[in-house]
Amino acid sequence: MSTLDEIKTNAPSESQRTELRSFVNLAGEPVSHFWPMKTFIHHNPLHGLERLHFEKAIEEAERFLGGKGFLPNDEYRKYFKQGRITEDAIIDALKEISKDASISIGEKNISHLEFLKAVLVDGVGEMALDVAPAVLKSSKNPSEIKDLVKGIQDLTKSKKRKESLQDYSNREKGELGVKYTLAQWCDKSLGTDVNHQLNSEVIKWVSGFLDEGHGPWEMPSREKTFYGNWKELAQEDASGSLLGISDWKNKIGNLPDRPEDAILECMSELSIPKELWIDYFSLHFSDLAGWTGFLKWRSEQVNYEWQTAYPIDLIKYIAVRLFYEKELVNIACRTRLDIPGTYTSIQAYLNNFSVGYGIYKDHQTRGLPEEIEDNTDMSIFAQEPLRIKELDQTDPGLISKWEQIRGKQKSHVQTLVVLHIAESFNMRAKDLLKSDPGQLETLLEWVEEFPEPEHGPVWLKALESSFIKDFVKIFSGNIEKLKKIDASKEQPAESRPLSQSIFCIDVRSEGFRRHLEEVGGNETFGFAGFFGIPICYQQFSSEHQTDQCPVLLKPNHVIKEIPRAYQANAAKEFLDGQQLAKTGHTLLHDLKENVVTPYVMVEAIGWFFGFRLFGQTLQPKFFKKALSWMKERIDIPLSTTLTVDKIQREEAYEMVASKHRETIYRLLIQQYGPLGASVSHEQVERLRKLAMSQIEVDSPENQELNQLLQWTDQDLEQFINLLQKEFDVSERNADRQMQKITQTGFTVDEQAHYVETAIRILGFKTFARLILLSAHGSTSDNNPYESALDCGACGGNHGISNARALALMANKPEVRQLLATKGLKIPEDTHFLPGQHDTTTDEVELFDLENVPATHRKDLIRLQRDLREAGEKNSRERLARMPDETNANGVYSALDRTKNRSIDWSQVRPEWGLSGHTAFIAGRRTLTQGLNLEGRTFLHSYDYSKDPEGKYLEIIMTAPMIVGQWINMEHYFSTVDTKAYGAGSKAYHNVVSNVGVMFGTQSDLCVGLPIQTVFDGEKPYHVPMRLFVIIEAPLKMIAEIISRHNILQCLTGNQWLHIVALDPETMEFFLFQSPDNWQPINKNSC
Amino acid sequence: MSELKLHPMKEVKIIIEGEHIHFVTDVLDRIKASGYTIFKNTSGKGHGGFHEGHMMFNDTSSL
Repeated sequence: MSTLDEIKTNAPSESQRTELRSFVNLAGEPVSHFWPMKTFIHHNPLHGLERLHFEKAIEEAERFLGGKGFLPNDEYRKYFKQGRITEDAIIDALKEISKDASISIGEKNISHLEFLKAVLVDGVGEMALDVAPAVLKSSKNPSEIKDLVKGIQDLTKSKKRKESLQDYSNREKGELGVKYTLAQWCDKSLGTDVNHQLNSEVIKWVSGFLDEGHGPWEMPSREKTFYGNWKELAQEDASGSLLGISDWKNKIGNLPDRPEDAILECMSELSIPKELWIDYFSLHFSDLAGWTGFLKWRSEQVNYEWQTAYPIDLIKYIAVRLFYEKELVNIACRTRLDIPGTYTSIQAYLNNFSVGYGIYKDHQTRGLPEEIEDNTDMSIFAQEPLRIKELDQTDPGLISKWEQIRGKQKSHVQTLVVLHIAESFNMRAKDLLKSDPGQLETLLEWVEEFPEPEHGPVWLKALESSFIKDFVKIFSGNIEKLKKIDASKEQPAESRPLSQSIFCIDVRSEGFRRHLEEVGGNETFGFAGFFGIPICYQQFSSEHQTDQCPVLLKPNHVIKEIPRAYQANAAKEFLDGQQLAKTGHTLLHDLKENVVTPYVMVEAIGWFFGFRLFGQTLQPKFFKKALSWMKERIDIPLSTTLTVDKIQREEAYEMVASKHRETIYRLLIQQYGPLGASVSHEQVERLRKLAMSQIEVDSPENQELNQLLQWTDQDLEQFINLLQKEFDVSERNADRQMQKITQTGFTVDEQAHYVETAIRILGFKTFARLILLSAHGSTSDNNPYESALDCGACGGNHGISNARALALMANKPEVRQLLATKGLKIPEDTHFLPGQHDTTTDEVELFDLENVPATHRKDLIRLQRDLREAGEKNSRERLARMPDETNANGVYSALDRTKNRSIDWSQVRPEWGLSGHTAFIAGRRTLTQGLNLEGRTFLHSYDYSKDPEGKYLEIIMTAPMIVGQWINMEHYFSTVDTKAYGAGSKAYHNVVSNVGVMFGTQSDLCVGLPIQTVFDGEKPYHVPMRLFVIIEAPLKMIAEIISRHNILQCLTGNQWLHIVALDPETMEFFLFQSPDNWQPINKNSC
Repeated sequence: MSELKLHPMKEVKIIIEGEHIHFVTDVLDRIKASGYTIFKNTSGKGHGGFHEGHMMFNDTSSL
């Protein structure tokens, strides 16, 4: 490692900086990306650790993020009592860790497996050291207990495993820089507030810098990048001096200009060994994992406008953090210990004064035993600096007394543990006394080998295996049907359904699909909600584009919404209306956020808000009706369509050329006034061609132009130069623009390809007259998490644009002709109709009705009626699952009630969303038809018999299944740890910087899902389990696909999800263990 | 052909998962690499067996 002087005198080399960047990049792995709130993306908070085994990743994440990876054992015990976890499943899960050994206690012979089960189900009854003696004293047979304690004390003595004061420093020496940063160590050990101060400062700067138009006053100089901006502004910030950092202004001013150099300088001053750097950076990143996750995401977005304008990345961020840490740790260590705040000096201190430090820590963490306290000068702990050096000289007799007391206390605790376990086997203290001490010793060893914090993985396995064994049983009836279908050699002629609807695989579609089918004659399919077309969509009148596809993809095609040809006037009025609304909104925002105006505004127009406040709170339904009445009168109805077709190259060229001609014309007028305006169209075109280097500058034909503008050849050349350099009228620019324009839309071939993929993957057998492509979205009020309820396959947006695009493609005669040549014949009278299912209100809005042929009117009316009926039924079913809906029976309109939930701004749970999901099923609809899966399963249509090469299954397993796994992991971790991985309670959330929410006025950015999404009061509504992916396909085909893809090997091998195959030959379910090892789930399941 | 002038050049191939593409392009830009070409969806066989790089709806995990 370079010394500090070397770094200060010689700037670090480029290779040192590149090496540092790689370290920082690797260190960022434990922190998961965090997308801005407006497009909430369900993701695995441990995504960066997926290369590790599930349990190992949880351990690693616990070290960095401090999150728990499993529910508390008591929750699992409740599941056991409820029968959700079976005894057999527990035994199976324990078999993996049990030894072939047994012990004899009293008259009983207890196998290791039986012991583990008892400990798992009943716990070990461990309690705090100082409480144990009191509990034992209250025992009925004090003499027996006394003997037992004595017996156990003798055991531990023989093991020579007594606790020592040096244990504290020995442990911390190993953990410093690996488990906690120096700042965290100071707070933990010296009782300082360094980390909080550090985080406060960092949040202040980061939230200001990352602001995306939320704050009324914009932070200045953001274009100088995060580090540059901080370096400039922080010099004038008084808080540094208030924190006690001396020479604040100069210190910051003297920092290197490059953040890499600043980091190298800080790491050298903190003297962190280079082998710990990656871990050390990871600890810093995970300290504010929400903010880090967001800026990690942002730094990787090449075309994100905010990032382009105001760059920030992990390097710039950590450079600022480390500066604060270095300064604040130094202050803390000097004040509290009188040593410099560096890694080496702290290590040396722990090494040199291990006994004194042990006494200090024992006092700090659990209080010294009374006898020791009486003989110690307690004022040592209250003085600054701490007189630990003096404590180190403590009388050895007192130290051995401490060891004796702690040893005795430990044996009390162990006695209680032994008694607790004995009770599980119906034994008493006397039985234990009869046992051989060696056997008791083994028992205690077993307890230590299987401590309570390690029960989680076993419980989870037992919970999952109980679930899947039970779950597959419900398919038995449908499997019989499938067997009959497969057995009949001649496929029955398919009757044409009255309608077909393609829904998103989302769990919320399951109920709706079932009800729509029950209404009669409707067939439904499940497909990823972006309908397989990754597009970048721009809504009419919107300046922004949204990526309408899973975040696994980067869309290459742009689709714009445009008014229909006959809507020219309406479009203008619509835009004017939008402009007016926007102006009003901006004015209101400015008035609200201004320093002075709110004082006057409350009196002036405050009453106006009263309507909304009272209306929406007291009479939401009435308010909604009144609002929509008003909207109907104000809103300009506008009929639009999408630019699905690709713009031809010639057309694109003409578009660019006409833009260039306009630029030239403007410039001529600007420079030559009326003379410039008189230049003919031909001459402007000549100038354009000159700028594009299509004609030579010295061509004699330019004379006319020169005469007209009284130019010399040099003037002409200058003008052309100006056009090329300043106004981008050049060949290169034209190419770039054409590329951009031709990104819009798809060629007919591409359209046919996407339509074919969608239809083939779904296994269509016949085509109805009307095929509904149903996207989904949600509506809720006052809910920053609204986007989390939208379509994940559409990047957290409403999916209607994709449905409309696919319908336009599939209805196109050219596409149909092309498909027919590929053997996919769609009848002429089949019409594709786009629609959107509102998952909160269960209404389905149909789009592009102008395109429905007059001949399909009857079909359309029938479908609309069926959709409404299915919506009512689905709403009723969903309301029954809502804890705050008291009366779910009787006569009422369920649609009205769900609608109320969507507009009630005090509603923290407009719908359950994806909570409660358990499985992802890819198979024929017959497998799941008619089964009430309670909106807990992702359903993807797939017919293996139509996919002999497994091509479509491969698509399902590498994309929709991955998205399913992300959603699953987001819910899993948000449930098992609502603070570290979840977003806590919605009630305390504040929107910050327009990118996310935080608690109160300052906290980490909340990642994950709020408690209200995954909990029903105190108990988890979502049962956290890894996703079960059930695929109806040959085992060999699935195994081959897994072996071909790294990502699948990683997810299955490391047990981030479970793959279950329904083998078409035997019609039995098998759980994937490895490509050659499939474990039957229930031998008699069918 | 007599005017054809050849320059000695070094070809560097970096094979990574789509997810890490930003890291590599960032490093290349920083060291001022004047140009590079990205081939997406590559497949092949190595010590770990055959790997399918192409995924229709997943850019991040393809090679």
